[in-house]
Amino acid sequence: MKIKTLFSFIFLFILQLGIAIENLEQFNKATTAFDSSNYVEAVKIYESLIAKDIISSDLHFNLGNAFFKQNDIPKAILNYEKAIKIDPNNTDAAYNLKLANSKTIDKIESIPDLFLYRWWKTIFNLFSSENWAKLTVLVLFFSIGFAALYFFSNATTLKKTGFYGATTLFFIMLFTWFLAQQQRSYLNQKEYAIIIEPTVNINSSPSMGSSKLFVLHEGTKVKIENETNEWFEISLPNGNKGWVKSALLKGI
Amino acid sequence: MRKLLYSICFLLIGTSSFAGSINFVAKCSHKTVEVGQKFKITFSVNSSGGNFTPPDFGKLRYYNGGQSSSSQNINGSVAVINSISYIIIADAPGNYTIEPAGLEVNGETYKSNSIKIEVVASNQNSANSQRKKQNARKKTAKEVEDYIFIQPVIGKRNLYVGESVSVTFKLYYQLPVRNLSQPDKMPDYNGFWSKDITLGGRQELPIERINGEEYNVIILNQVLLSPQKAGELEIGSLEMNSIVQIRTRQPRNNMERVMGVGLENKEVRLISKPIKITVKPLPSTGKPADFSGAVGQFTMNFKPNKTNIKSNQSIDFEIKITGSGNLPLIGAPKLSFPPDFEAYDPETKNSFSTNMGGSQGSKSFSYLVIPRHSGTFDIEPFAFNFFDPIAKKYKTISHNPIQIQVEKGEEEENVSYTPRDKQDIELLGTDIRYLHINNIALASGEGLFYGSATFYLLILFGIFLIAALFFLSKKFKERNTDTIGIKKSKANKLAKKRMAKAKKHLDAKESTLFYEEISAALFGYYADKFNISLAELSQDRIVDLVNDDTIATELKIVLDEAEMARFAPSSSISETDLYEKAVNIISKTEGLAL
Repeated sequence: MKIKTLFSFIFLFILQLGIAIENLEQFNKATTAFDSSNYVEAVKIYESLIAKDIISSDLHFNLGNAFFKQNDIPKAILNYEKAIKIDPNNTDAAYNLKLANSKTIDKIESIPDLFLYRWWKTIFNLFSSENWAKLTVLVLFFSIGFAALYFFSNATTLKKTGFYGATTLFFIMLFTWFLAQQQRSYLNQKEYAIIIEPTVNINSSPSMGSSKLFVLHEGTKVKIENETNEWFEISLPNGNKGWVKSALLKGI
Repeated sequence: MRKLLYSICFLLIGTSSFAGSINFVAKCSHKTVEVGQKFKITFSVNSSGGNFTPPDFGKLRYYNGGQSSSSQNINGSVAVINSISYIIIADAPGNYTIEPAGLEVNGETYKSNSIKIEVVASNQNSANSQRKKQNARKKTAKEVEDYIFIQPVIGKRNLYVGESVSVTFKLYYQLPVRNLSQPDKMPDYNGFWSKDITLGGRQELPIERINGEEYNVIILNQVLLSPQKAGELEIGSLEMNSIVQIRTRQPRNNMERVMGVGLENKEVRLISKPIKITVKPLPSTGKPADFSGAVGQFTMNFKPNKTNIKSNQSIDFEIKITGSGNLPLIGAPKLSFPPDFEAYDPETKNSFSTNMGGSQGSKSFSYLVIPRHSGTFDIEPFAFNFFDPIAKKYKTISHNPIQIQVEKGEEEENVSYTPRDKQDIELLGTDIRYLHINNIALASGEGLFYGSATFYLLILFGIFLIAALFFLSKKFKERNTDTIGIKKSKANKLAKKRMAKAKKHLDAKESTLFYEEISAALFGYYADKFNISLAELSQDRIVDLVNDDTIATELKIVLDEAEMARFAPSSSISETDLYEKAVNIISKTEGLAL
């Protein structure tokens, strides 16, 4: 019985390893295609990898580059944004995004966020959800170390250090865990979207007959405020709001 | 004759019932008038039929008369007021009374009130004489009036706002006309849009017969009118001078008779009669919201010259309205293009002719539009509305939606891109950063650490570890709190070890050696305990250091006994008891935790 389980584990491991090796091969093929300016092929491979449910900031970054080279700016922007969303520390993606954004048409003055919200975002985006999770485990074990000091030492000062250290670290652990969860849910929810179609009318209500408020062009990032059947209510950093057909956007 | 006509018939259209009582009143425009001044007397009744008997004006001279009908809205019910008015002139000063007029309705006779009027002599002689002069001239003119006059001819007197009607001013004459000047006063067409459609030169028409008399006819002026507001509108009179040859019946002198001059050139002022036109407002029912005022029969064509272009190229949208009606008055329809289109003001092209029947032909508007960005655009449906006065209803022509496909032009970015700041321009010159190719995590969704079983197991393990440490430390403490027991057992062990030799001697029944060993063991123990050399140690010193009365006394007993027994064996304390006591002392000393 025990041997059987062990074997199945080993089998699964080998299978996973096999898949990983295959993915890596595909990935290298895409790099080769990209280097030989075969961007269409590169896009195809990267997209097939993403379709395998691989969540990778680098993959989106590379896909964004392939789109950028094809001069498909909105899709490049979309993938750079995704890369940054998965890993806020992907500075290369941030750089390329800035470059791609300079090629879009719409210029929107943004209202700066409240400073508290900005701080929160800075902390929140310090690590990806993966790294926050790793940090959580690390902090937990440090907390245990301090707890042990508290439990077993006889000297009062050591006991005190152990107690305060353990409780502080425990709360820090809870906080990092919360941040990991926040990052993960942020990853799953589509809060922002990129306009994919060249020219898009923004309507005053979710129907084609409603009056047109303004026009946006491809590559513009909008916030999704609301959603109905086939329509999104979007808002711009300058405060403008309106409804747009959801097919004209792609969520980040 | 005319007077009679008015007096006899007050029979008007409509036989609406007389719901209320009949109110038949006479009113005068003046209370006091001068001789020769015109004034107006009006008889009005709030019913729409009846047989009217005019009053006897006596010495007052009837000048002119008229008949009108108006409707009034009183307390929600519509009342029709019919009135007959007379323009009267008094020739001599004095007080006059105008007797009541009679009205017979449905067999009943009503009487109006009588009117008193005072006529005073004119105090302005010069004005009077001038008037007299005018009267005289009029008189002469009147004689001529029957032989030469201007008659306006209008298509219809009842029309809708915006509908077209033509008016022709015709000159009828029987006398030889010497000279016909240009009309010096054209009628004013207040409330009308007008267009002169007179053909070049004067058009002579065939001889017409009026009341059995033949007249020559000339068209003086033709105009196309289109009323711009509803209500009773009046086309003013056209005035002109003409010189006609009048045959004077009686030569003024013999000379003329001899010369055969029975003819005289006379200047006649010709004034046409004003025409009243009833203009109906366009019906409000079914009136489209964006109705622009087009009246007539039209068709519309709307199309762009191309539907598939590249950005920054131009498209021409053309609206062509064909038909008859008030074409000159149709303005360019407002088209709403997608906001991204640069639209220019429309260009209007007229290709219609205006004649007696109105304006016919077509009018086209072309809109130049330049899409600035690529995409697929729907041109919003646009509808052209007009009122058809024949069908008496509004009609709408709309076109099918048009889709414009704009492809990316070559210069699109250049045209629309406006650099934001210096930094961006610098950025544009550089390239994107290269692919990430090393240390790529190609784990699929389940391979993520956060949320995985490993993560939760680690957390659980950590919490378990804390719990385990907690319990472990608790047990440890429990054992620590039981110090007396532990120390006792420990001290006993130590004491027994110290006394091991003494026990040996006790078992071997070597008394002397036993007693020696007892005191040696005790001294050795305390020397070790307090880290003092045996030489420095005495019984008193030990008592001092131990500082415990029970131990001190017992120690004294044991040491004394051991000392005594060495030299003189006694049996006050047995050897076994002594041994036990010594062990006890060491045990107790250990238990003190010094």
